[in-house]
Amino acid sequence: MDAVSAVIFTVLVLITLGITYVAARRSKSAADHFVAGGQLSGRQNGLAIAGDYISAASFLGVTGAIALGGFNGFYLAVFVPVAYLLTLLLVAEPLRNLGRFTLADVLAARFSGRAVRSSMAVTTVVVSTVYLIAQFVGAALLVTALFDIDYTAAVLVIGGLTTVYTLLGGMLATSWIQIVKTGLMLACTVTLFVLILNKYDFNPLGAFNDALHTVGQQAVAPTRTTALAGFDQLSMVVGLVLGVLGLPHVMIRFLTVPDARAARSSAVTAIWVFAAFYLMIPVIGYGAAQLVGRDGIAAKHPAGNLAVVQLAETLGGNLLLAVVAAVAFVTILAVLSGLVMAVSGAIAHDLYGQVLKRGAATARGELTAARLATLVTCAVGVVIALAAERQNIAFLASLAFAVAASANLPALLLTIYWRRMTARAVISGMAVGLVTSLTIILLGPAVNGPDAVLGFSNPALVSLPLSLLVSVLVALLLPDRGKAADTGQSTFRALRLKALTGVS
Amino acid sequence: MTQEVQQEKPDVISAGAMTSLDTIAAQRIGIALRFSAVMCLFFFPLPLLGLFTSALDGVVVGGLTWAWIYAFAQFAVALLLATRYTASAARLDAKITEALRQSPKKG
Repeated sequence: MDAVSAVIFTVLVLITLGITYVAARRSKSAADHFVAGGQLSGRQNGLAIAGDYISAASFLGVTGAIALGGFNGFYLAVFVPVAYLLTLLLVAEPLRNLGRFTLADVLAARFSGRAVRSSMAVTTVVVSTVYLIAQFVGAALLVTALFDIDYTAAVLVIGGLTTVYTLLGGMLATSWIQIVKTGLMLACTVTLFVLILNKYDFNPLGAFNDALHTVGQQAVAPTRTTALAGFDQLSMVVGLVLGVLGLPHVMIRFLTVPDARAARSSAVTAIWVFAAFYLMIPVIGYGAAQLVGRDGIAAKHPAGNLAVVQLAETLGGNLLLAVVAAVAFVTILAVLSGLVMAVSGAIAHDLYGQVLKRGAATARGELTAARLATLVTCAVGVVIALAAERQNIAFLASLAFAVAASANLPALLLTIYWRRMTARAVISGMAVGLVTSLTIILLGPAVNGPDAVLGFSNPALVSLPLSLLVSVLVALLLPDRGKAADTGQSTFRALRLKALTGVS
Repeated sequence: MTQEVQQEKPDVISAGAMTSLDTIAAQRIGIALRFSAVMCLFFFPLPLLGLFTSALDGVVVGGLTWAWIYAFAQFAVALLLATRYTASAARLDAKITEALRQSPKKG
C-alpha cells in the first residue's frame, strides 16, 4: 500500500468511525439499536438498501464476470430490479405495518406461539450467518489481494471494524455507512463509466462493438453448454430473484422507516439506484476486457474479481486505483454490518426477548442481549473466516439465497396473504425448505466436484416449490379446528387489514 | 394462536369503514398481484430463452444482441411498474384516510 492509498483508506475509515461515534451518542434504546428508531426517510433508506445489497460481489464480481464471460455474467445483476419490484409489491408495506425489529415479528403477528417465532429466528440466524461467512471470507481474500496484506490481518481488521460499527452505532451507524457507501460507489462507477466512454468517443455501444469484433459473438450473446447446466443456472436465477424477498438483512431495512409510504419510497429509490448502477456495469465490464485484456484479468484472479481495480489503475493510475480499492473496502464493511444487525436482532429480540423471556425482557435487557449477540456474531464470523480461507465459499452464498427463498419466502407470503395458513404449515414449510436446500447443496458438485451424486448445485428450483407444496398441503390437510379455527380467522382478518392498510 | 393484531384494533372504526378498508385491502392485493405477474412474465423468458435457445443471440446494432436489449428492458419495466404502483398505492392511501375520517361520524 503506497502513501496515497494509505491516506484515502485512512480518511474513509475515519469517516465511518465518525458516523459510528455520532450514532452511538444518539442511539439510546433497543429500537434505536435494532431499527435506527424507525426514523429514516424513504430516500435515505432506499440508499441504505442499495448499500446493504450491493456487495463486493456485485461491484467487483459482476464486472469481472462480464469481462470474462460476456452476457452470462449479467444474469448475476439483471434480476436485482425485478427482485426489488416484487419486494415493493408484496412485502415492503406489510413488513413495515406488521414488523417491529425482525422478520419473525411479522409471523408472530398472526401466530404468536414460540415455535413459529423460533423457526423464523433460526432460519434468520442460519441464512445471515452463512451469508456473513461467505462475505467475510470473500472480503478478506479481496482485501488481501487489494492491499497486499496477510489474510489473518485482513480478517481481523474487517472483523474489528464491523464489531465497532454494529456494537456501538447499531442500525443507525450501519444505515449511514451504507448510505455513504452507496454514494461513493456510484461516484466511482460513474467515473469509470465516463472514462471508458471517453475511450470510445462517448459512444455507449463502443465497448460492446469492440468485444464483438475482437472476441466474436460469444462475447455479447448468451452462451449455453448442457441442459443440466442450463437448469442449474435457471435455478440460480430463481433463487436470486426470490431469495431477496426472504433475506433478513435486506428485509429488516424496511423496519427503519416510520410508515408504509416511506417503505414504498425506500424500495422505489433503491430500484432507481440499482438501475443507474447496473446499467453502467456492462460497459465497464467490456471496457475492462478491452483495456486491461482478458488474459491479464484472469491472471490476477480466475473469476475476474479484480477487473474493476485493474481497470481503475489502467484508466486513472494509482490515485483511481486507491479510491476504488478503498470504496470496495467500505462496500464490504457496509454489507457485513447489515448482516450482523440481522443476526443480533434475531438472537436478542426473538430468541432471548420473546422465546426465552416470553416477552417479559426489559428494553434495557434486550439491548444488552443485542450487544452481546453482536459481539458473539462478529467473533464467530472472524473465527470461521480464519478457518475457512481455502474453502469453497460460492456454495455458502447460494445456500443463503436458496434457504431465504425456500424457507422464509413461502412462510412470509402465505402468512400475510393466505387465509388458510396455519402455524404448523409455517413450521413444516420452513423445515422442508431448509433441509432440502442444504441436502441438495451438500450432494451437488459445488461441494463434491464433478463426481457428485447430483448434477446441479443450485437448489431453489427444487426446494422452493417443495417448501410451498408442503406448506399448502399441511395447511389443507391439518387445518385448525373449533375455537382455534375461529380465532385464527379473526386474527387473519385483522392482520390482513393492518398489513395492507396500516389500520389496526 | 393469538389475537395479537386484533387486540390492537381501536373501537372507533365503524362497521362501514371496516368494509371500506377490507375493499381497499382487496384492491391493493389485486394491484400487487397483477403487477407481480406482469414483471415475472416479462422477466423469466430472459433466462429461459438465453439458457435454452438461440433466440436472443442475434446482433441488432453495434455489438448489442437481443439478449442485452431484453436485459436492459427489465430495468425500464421494473421502474415503470414501480412508478405506476406508487401512484396507485397513493390513491389507495387517500381512500384509507377518507374511510377513517368518516368513521367516527358513522360509528
